[in-house]
Amino acid sequence: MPITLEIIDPSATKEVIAKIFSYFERIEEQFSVFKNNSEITLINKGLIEPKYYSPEMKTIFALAEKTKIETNGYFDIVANNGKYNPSGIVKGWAINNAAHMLLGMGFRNFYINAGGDIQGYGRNSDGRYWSVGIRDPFDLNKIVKVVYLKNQGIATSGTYIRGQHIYNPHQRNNSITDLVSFTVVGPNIYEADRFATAVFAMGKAGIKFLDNLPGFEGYMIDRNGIATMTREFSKCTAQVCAVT
Amino acid sequence: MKTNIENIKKILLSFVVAVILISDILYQQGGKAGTNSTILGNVSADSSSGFGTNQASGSQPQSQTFSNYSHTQTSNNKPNTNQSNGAYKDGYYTGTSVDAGYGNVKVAVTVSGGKITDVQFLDHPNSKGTSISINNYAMPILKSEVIQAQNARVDTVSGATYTSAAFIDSLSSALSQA
Repeated sequence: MPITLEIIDPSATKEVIAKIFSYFERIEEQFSVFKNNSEITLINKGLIEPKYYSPEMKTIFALAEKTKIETNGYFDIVANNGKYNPSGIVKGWAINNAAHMLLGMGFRNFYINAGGDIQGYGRNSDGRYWSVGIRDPFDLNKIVKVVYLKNQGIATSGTYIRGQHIYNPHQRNNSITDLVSFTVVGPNIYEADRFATAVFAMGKAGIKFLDNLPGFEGYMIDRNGIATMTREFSKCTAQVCAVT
Repeated sequence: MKTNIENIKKILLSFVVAVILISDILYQQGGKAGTNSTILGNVSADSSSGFGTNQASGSQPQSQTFSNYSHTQTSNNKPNTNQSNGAYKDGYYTGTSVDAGYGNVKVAVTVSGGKITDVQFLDHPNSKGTSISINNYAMPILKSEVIQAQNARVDTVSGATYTSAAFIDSLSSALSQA
């Protein structure tokens, strides 16, 4: 997973950066379903009982359960093959932890971008709020919106799949292929990330769900290039997101 | 009453539009001659998004993008006189199931006339869950707009990553059989 980190502070050393990157590496070792010996892979092979899960794993399972309830089951770490895959919540959670590590070290102006999910604090080197582009789902070289963050998190889920012929035969009313991109701004990246996965699964109803959720804003793009946004989203692009 | 200058401007504008259209058609013709290596490696962006994006036809992004696999036929395209000049054998091919990071992606590809004519999801991370009683929520009218691509300078970019890679992997495995 590509990770980008920018800290506006002359005292930010290589050691600080290395510490953050090695934190993410440890997270991958535990939670990556692509690694043969990760804790989650061993769990999926039935080799670890729940009472022996690591504290982080227990935390993630508990948070996942909470999220599942809050999203009426639309967020679920049980994949279609019956195995656990907590990636949809681990990423935001890990970035949030890394951000708190930096805050704990006294840094006040930085952002972390891990796989397109971002947590920003403070201001950039021009003294402005961190500006985040929402990638154009139809041209990955371009952006379609600029969002300004104030100590907030932003996550985008999507398929980037175009074309009228793409459909899901199991769900003809196909909520998933109606949408190509769903961006969520939340009070922090952990919150934004877990809801970004769930609202995408809700299809076009997801923007209504988000609009009714206090403290979140969203920008949803369908396969025809029509975007729908939550009521206060325009503040995010005009000045700064108002979510607290 | 039109002046000569107005007429010249109109002619120049028509010329520019014609050049753009011809370039676009030529680019698409070139793109269709693509082979397996085009799809598995650097997939080029389809410029005909219709959103006024002003993309250069020759743009080759470093990050992965998708060509328009559905190949929607428009009246601008020349009819394909040779039915079997495509890179793929006609048929219906199922890709392997690939982990997308929060679920599995599995696609099936239909090839006819040597070209990809349809791509279906047989499995997708978000295909769980059926209807949800979201309709209980009060319905404010939410603002909609046509998205506008721009080149604005930003500190960083938010975009999806996982599902795209899994889609390419599953699609590649389907196409490797074609």
